[in-house]
Amino acid sequence: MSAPSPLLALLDQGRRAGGGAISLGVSVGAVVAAVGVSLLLVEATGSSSGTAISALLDGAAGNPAATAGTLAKAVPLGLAALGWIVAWQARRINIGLEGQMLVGGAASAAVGVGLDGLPTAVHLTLAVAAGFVAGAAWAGIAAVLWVRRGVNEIFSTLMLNLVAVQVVEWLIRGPLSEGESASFARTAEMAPGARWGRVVGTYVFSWDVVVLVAAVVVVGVVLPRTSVGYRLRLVGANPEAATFAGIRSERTSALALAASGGLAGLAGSSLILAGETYRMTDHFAGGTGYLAIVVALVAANSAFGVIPAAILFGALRQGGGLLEARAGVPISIVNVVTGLIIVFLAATAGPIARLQARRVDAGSRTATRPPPVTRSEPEPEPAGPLGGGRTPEPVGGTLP
Amino acid sequence: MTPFDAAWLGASLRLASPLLFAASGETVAQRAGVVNIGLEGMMLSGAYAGYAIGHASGNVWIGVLGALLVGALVGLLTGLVVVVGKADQIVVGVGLNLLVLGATSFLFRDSLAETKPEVGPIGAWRIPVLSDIPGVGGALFGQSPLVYLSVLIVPIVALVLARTDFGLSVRAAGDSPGALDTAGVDVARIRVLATMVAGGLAAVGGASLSVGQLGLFNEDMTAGRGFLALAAVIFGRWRAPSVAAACVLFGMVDALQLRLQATGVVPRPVWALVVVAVVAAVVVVLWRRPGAPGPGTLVAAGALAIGAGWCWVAQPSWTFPTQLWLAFPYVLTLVALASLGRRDEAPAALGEPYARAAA
Repeated sequence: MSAPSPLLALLDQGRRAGGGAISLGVSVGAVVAAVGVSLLLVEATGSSSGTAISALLDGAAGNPAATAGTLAKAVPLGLAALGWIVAWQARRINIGLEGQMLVGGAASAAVGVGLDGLPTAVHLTLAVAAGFVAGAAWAGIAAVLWVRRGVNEIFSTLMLNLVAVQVVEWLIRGPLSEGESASFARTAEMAPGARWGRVVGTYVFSWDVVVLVAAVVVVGVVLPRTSVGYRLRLVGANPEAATFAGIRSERTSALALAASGGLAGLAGSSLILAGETYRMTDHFAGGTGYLAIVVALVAANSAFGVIPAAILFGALRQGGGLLEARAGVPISIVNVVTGLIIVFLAATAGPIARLQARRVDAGSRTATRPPPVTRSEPEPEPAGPLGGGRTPEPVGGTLP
Repeated sequence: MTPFDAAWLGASLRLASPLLFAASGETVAQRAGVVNIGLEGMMLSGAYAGYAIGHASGNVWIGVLGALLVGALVGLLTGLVVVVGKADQIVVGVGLNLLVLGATSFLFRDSLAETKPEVGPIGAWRIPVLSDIPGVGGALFGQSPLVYLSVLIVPIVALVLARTDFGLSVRAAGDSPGALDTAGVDVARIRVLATMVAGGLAAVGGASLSVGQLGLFNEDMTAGRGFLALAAVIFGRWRAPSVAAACVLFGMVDALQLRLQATGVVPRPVWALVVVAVVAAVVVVLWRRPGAPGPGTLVAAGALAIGAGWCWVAQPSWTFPTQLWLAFPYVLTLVALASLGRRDEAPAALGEPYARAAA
């Protein structure tokens, strides 16, 4: 990074004001509160909350198979959550993660069953890349609609989710169906070359975890140190100021949306290429794309926070199975916990941001007074992937 | 043989009815500036509340009333969190959907899932004179009373929005909350009330599915109808009559889709209808806002009309997968969003929390 700009100083102030510790406290608090309320519900219906907790813990980590299941569920969750974070850095709301996962998974499945006899290194790379590209392209529809036509990405990504559900339904009964008859609502098994190997024995946890780790590093370490990441955050912080600084904020946001979709596509590809059955089935994403939003929220939009948060929710989903069998508590309680966590986190986000803003104000008056914001030199636009001929327009008019 | 008979019309209305409730309510919420993605959850809460309360009280109508109250309560909580707490509306909506899906399934499995007692369904009321109209009378006017109610809701919501003080405040809260505040009206109160209206009406829509049509509750029984209603609000450009028309259109497509699953090949009248629909859409759009659709849109519409016209004449033996029909409303909404682009008529402050500017 070159000379620090006043804008970046503003960006970093929030972080210095002890943001990390506060977010951690809030996340833990929300999870504890949600679990507490849910346990009250369990008690109210006559089951024992002690039995429920021990069943949940056993189901999530009581034996190697359970632990592997938890970790395996965490990988796609984490990837999709990173997708949310990348879009969020530019303050774009991508609720289309679910649809991008479905389309990305479908593309991976098509490559996985469509090609055969390739060496694993080639086939797997192709299948994973197909997932990324398809997810990015699906989100790209929303990005293009937004840049060219000013269509609110919340509505477009939501509609695209619902279309994607039908696309997958059609594929598994039609072109990608295993059998001749449409009653086979699934694909054949992936070719051996297009499967992620299991990490230990035959337990479902697979090597696709390296994709997650790589993605965390890219989003958490590399991106903040590149000019693209800088522009992303600047556009997110203040699109008009970013435009004034010579950044094409619309293009940057569109790129963020597409990259976000790509990450979701990778998540979808993991569900297929490292799935329990190595097939694409009905509803294979099963709400993972929505759950990923909770993961990102609990992680306070930090790339590294995604890993523990994803494991937490992977454990909830994995452990929920035993809840019903052993404690007689319907597995739906997992959705109750999750929904409550979102609502609690969202409800406290506003007051806490205001609290932090006050602290930053107080701090800057005494110690680190920001340099007076004069006309900053517009940054020369590097002729990178974002270079191009459109005049930047200020954004924000039609968007929340 | 035409698929567009009286039975199809009746089925369209029946399928549109839950959407009419939910979309009318959502129109009020969105006009007040609240994007309520939790509409699906609100419908589902009503579907369960109607069933459970109807069963407990032994009266279906008490169930419907209970659904209305439960939905309004869900709307109140949502409103408090997003309006007063200024939480992100989209995130809260996603959370609400999960929460209600979990809570209704949990409560259902804990109570009535074993026995699955029948509650309702509410029988048809034949409207005396109208149902005797030859042809369509029996199909349109021999419906469940909730269907008539859903049709009645539309003009009520339209009139309230257009002609009452509350409606004016709702529209101001969505378009210009600062002005409303200056006029001495509590923006937060109006927005919370609007969200309650959305919750209550959506819940009645949900109840119309469970105790109104089926007499049973299933987990996740709304199955995306809340999102469909959301699409109708956007497709209907946030105006109650157009939103209702979108609901009916989506209902018609759904009914047609169910019909075509049986016959297979797309019959010629469907192609004819496509031609008429495309031409009508272009004419209406051009008439209301000259020059609104870009040349690209016009070329695409022309190509579509000509293609469908060819199919009408030649009648190729094509069948379309069910999924194409099911995706149709969403694709249509995307196309509508894209063709109107920045000229859309969304409330100006849609999705934005209102904070009084510091003086």
